[in-house]
Amino acid sequence: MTGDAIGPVQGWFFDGQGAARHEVSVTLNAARGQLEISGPSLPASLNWPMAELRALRDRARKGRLTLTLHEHSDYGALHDEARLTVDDPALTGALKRLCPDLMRRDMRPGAGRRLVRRGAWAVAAVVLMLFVILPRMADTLASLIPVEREVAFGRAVVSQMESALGAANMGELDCTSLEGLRALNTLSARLSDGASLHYALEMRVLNHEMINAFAAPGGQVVIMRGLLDTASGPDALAAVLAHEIGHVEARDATRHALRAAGSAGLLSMVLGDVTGGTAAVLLGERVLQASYTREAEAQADLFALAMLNRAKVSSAGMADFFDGLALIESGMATLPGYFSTHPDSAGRAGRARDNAAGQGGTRPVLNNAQWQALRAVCD
Amino acid sequence: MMAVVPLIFFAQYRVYRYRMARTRWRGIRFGAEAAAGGYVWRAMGHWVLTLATLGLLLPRQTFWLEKYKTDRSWYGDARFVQDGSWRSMYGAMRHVLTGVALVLGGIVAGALGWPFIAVIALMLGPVWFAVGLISYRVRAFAYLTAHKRLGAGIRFEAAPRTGWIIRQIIVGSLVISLLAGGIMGVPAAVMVFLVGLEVVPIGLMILPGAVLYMVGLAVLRSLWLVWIVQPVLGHVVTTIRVTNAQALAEIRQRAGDTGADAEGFADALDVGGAF
Repeated sequence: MTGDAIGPVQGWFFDGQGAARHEVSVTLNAARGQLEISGPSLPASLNWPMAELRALRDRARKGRLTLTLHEHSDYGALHDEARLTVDDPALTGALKRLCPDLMRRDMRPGAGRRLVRRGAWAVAAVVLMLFVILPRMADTLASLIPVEREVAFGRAVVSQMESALGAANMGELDCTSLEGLRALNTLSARLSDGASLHYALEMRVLNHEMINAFAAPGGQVVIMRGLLDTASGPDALAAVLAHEIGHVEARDATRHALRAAGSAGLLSMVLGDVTGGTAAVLLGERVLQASYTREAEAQADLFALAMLNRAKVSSAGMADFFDGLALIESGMATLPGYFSTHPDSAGRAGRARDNAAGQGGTRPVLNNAQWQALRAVCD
Repeated sequence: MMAVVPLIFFAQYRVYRYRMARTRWRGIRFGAEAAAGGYVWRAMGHWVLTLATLGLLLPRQTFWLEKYKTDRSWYGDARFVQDGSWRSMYGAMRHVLTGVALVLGGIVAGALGWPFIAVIALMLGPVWFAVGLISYRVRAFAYLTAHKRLGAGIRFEAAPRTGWIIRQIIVGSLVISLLAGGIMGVPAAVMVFLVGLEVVPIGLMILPGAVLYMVGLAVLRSLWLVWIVQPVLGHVVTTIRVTNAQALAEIRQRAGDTGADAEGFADALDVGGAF
């Protein structure tokens, strides 16, 4: 059959200039390598080269083939505007067999390169937003935001974090033993006494094994039960809390939470997640992994030492705590939460010990009974 | 959230224009004028009116927004015109109104102390309302299509079968929930199980969880296309007839709207090239 002509069979031709339908007869002349189209309403018969025939991918009816010619254009598909529809099974079968590029998807030259280039620009834009613009915006916003707004924002952040920790209802994870909370208040009062803080401190303990404490914007400090379980004593805990208060006072927490919220929103847009589910998860995750810059950490350490000195609490507890961290860090490559982002524990322990050597007249921040009560706050 | 609303309408019109610019029939291009700005404030105004009248002016909104788009649409060098009137579209709304009436009636019956009637009406009402909304969309579409005009006297007849479409949507939704439950439910259950047994800490599951969630959205969206959008579109398209088709011979090709409202990835990827 190859080599012979197929047809003439009936076809319908649209010239691409007008919407009129021309009834035509179509012959596939394989020997000449062309499709011959002629009809009474056509000014001249047409010869379409077989190598340039393309079939449209979307077909209205089964068994029909809509043909066009490959053509260079700057707009839309690389197709000539004329269309030829045929439905003769012998002809469509032969076309599919004999035309090598019938189903080819033509790409404009350089389309791949353009794709890569634009993709790179898009990625660069997102990176720029995430790592340059958002942090700056967060810095500016954090210094402009009024304290009341900051407190409200902090509450939102804490509840976000609670649900990230698996609380179905707000307050479900709160530890509420009266004696324990009283001890916590004593500790908080001792630290903040005479410190002229911008924020009213509000401390809570959540029943979770994570060894972590974190400061939300607006003076909310959240302690995880895991930290109480592992702290060597009340002085160590006081040091960690003083450090967190340092972050709150420097508005690091606000800055960080704003940035986390911004990144989460941006990422969920990039991922096309309109429901915001990813954003919620990411936000909780980022806030928990509070990673401040090294300078912010060093500042918070200085703040904590000053606070401990003012409150006459020995910073030896702080040194113990960092020693413990250094020990864990040397034993483990990766660490969850608090530790991974607070580098150089040995150095920090050293500074705390030097400070402790210069301190005089310190007394424990809690007595033993109070400390035991605080540790049992979740029971 | 309110700040995004104008963008949504803006995007809706631009999507419409993009699709028109890349759709051909008989080799002749469709097109729509660049008029997304006007669409934004009209759409917002109509929505405010519709919400303020608790939906009573919905046909007015449907009609005028459709007229705005239709009157700016072209096939080749021929322009579409939307005739008809929004008042004639209240017939299409009767099942929506029936649903509302049932709910209101149920509340009244409850207040009068007829619990049996109240329960029946309050259970039936919302379902009637939901089905009524589909019915409204189909009937409104048929009305608007039948009152469209193209160029010199080309008209359209649309006879979509509301019952067929509602059945397809209900059956399609059932199939989608079954398939999605199977595809997404199993890995989700495995993850919950692993965390529940404390084999893996919950923190390790955050990333897989997020990925599963995103994949889930994509799966739902594709199932939706396959089981609802395409069958309904196919049905609607096969029930539309063009009358006075010989007048099509007068229509000439229009110039391509180069890069109509969707530069960037859409064109780099040649997604419009399929048409």
